[in-house]
Amino acid sequence: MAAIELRSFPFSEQALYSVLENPHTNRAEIASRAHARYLFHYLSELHAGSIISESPYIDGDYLDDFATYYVRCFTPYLNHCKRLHFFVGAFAHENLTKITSGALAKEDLGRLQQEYLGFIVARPLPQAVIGRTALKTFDGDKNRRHYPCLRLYRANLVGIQLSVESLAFQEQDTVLAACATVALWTSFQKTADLFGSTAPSPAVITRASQAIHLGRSFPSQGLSVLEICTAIRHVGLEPELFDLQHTPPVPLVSLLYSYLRFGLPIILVANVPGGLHAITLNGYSLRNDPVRTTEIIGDKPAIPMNGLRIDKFYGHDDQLGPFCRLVVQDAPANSPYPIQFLREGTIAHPIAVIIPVYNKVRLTFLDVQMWISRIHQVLKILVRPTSTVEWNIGLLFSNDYKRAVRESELLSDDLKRAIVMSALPRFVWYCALSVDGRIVVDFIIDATGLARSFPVYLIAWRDASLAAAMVKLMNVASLEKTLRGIFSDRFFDFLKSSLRDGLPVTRIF
Amino acid sequence: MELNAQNGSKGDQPVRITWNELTVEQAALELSHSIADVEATVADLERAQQVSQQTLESKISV
Repeated sequence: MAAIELRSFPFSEQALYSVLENPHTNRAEIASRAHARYLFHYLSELHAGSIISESPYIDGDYLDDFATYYVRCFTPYLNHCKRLHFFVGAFAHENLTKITSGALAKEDLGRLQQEYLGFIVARPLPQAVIGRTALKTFDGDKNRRHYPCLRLYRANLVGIQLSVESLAFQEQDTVLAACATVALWTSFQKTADLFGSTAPSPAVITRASQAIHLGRSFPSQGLSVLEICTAIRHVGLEPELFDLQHTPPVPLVSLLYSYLRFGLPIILVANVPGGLHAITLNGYSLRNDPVRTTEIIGDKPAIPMNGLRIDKFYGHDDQLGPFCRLVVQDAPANSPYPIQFLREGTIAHPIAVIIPVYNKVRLTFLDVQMWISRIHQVLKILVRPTSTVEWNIGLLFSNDYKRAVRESELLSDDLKRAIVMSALPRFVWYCALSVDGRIVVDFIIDATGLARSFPVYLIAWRDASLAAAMVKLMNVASLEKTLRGIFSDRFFDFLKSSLRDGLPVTRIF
Repeated sequence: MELNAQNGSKGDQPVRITWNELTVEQAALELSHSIADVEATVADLERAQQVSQQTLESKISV
């Protein structure tokens, strides 16, 4: 039986490229690839100091790809990989002997975990050496950076249990997987964690997506948007597709935020130099103050949302690496879409957005906009023009909403009790209005309902002065017809009933 | 999760609701414009949910 070989190195650019090489790709070729250079800079930013190389390592995703394609090639390829573990500082490198002999004290094991930055599986392939990669993210930078799509990855290093919060990345091999397949593979890593759906290998994703396909599946020539949607259905989820090419502009940044905050990775299809490319968005940078003045629906300003405070998204870009920055920019006037992304010096023009959602999540962000736009038209006249008004809209598990209500120090016990005791659907859209930084009202919308029905399920007035102002407004007989015209009759009646005693009202059927 | 967050940089200031500074006539005037705005927005949002065949067939390969 072959022994496991563990080797350790002080972290450096040359050491990284050396441990990534294999019989088909030498160090110089690795050094010339953008992925390796990106990963070196990324790990340097995380203060990597040690590399431990573990070989052989059997990787399930690679083994599946190997069995589908590489094993049948005339040129022999290995069926196993190397796994490279990264640690802050020199401790791991200096204690390799203790790691292999089992002589590490309990506190040293704790230190090893504390300094663990994650791993890269190095595939024994020509060029596409970066296999499954799970690395730590940058810190939150005072609650500016948000990575809601992470999950736990465990790595067992000769009996030492290590773990890292990450979202797995891999480079496309251009045979079994082009960028779209890899983007789906990354998304399914998280949706499996969220919904219990499957997380198939790239080979399975490509084949499933091309069940009806005029050309051959392998070598893969990429996927169409329709094929991406087919692959999402294959794992038991539904593709929420937003076409940004042939439809009126929508508040794209707030739309992306509304799904990301739930933890759903988003497949952004963008036009980049060379053609259409897929990037899996998985985080965002939220500033304290707005970085843009307005978002657009059609040719009109959208309601002010916290997308106005987002200056960057983070995404797995298989042309570069994990957690890449996409800087949000207003596009020039002649551009096809009002928003564009600056990505490592090149511009990415958004074409479509595809989100794999649980089948019961039926209302979209745009459906929710239809209702919140109505209430905003009225609430905005009650607020001084000098005040800052912002909507926070996002998909949410209702139990997470209840947990946040429980933990709030700003709500009365009566209001808390009324909310946590409300029967709510599993998935809701949370829509909160803030005035000058304080949340004044929550609207909970049933995400599992029908877009054409009336889906507002619960209204929690957190601010007594706003509730009082609304009562006064809605009791002016001469305004009732206008207000009903803005809200619709059902919304008007529900709002009125929600204001009777200042406590949230849940509709009873 | 930011459900209880105090957003922005003005979190310590009280909320200012100005109903008393607005007359019924002013409110009626403001709201009268809103119906048309809401209808236009809803129409745009409905169109924004459509998907074109061209987008469905777009090949993503780089």
